[in-house]
Amino acid sequence: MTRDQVTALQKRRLIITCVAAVVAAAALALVASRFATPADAAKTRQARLWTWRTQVPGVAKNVPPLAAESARAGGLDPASVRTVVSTGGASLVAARSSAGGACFGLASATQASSFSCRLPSRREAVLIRLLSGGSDVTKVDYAVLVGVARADVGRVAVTTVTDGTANLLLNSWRGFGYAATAPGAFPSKLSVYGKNGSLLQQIDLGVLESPS
Amino acid sequence: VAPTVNSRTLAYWFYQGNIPTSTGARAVHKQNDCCNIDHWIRMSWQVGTHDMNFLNIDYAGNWSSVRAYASDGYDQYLLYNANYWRRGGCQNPVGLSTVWVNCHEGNTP
Repeated sequence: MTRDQVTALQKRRLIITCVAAVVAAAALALVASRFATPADAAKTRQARLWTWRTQVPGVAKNVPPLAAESARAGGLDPASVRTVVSTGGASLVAARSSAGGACFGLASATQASSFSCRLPSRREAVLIRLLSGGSDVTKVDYAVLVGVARADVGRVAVTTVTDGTANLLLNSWRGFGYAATAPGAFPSKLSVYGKNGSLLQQIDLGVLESPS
Repeated sequence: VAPTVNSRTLAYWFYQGNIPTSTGARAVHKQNDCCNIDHWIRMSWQVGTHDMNFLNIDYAGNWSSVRAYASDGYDQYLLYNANYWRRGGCQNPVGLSTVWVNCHEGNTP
């Protein structure tokens, strides 16, 4: 075999090896994509359901003052804090996460919780916060529920401890709230329905208890 | 499994233990130190358990409870105005199982 023939053979082997490698890589990518696509698609859809027309939902005015300080303590931009909904002296507040999404917390005139920046799970159609209190440590005088719904929610209904029900209005940020001062009207359960009327989630709110 | 906060041994937890307590109390709270308006309660609790409550009580006995959702993590804080609230603490909601809790006045871990 001449030197030219050996060189040609080596080139042919190299080409075959390269083609085989490309085909194998493409096949692996195809297999990987078949496994990854449904999960990725679900995650993308879930993330999309928790977006708004602005990066952070809500309005910048009337933000409880402690909310900005709480955001700062959590490593969030205090200037990004917005009020999603307010009722009964409590507000659901939002701030911009470092990843660009929205974080949520509860704030009143004298309190502010830490912010949660996690993407809610697929089973969660709403994110809620609950505040209760009283004028005496032996009794509960009020309960306030504030929350925000994902984009496919059509209706949120609260069930009271006496089995009454009330639909909660979703505002333009999909925020909702409920406040009660009569013990029989305290919330015990939240039911969340899709825009097609299907039940998406039910939340047992537990029993409200005084501190003593 | 008890909460695992890195510098827990260095922190000032005013209560570390089960709630309900040995006396059956479902809440523990502490009078805040003087003179700063912004005060913090930090609560970490047993991973894998349920939602807990932050608790504030004022001079006249008025109280307020903010639920801390376990789905958001087992180490959370509440910032409060100490001109208004005299005491801060941690509460295990009624009817739920005993939970190991670290209740801390302050926001450092």
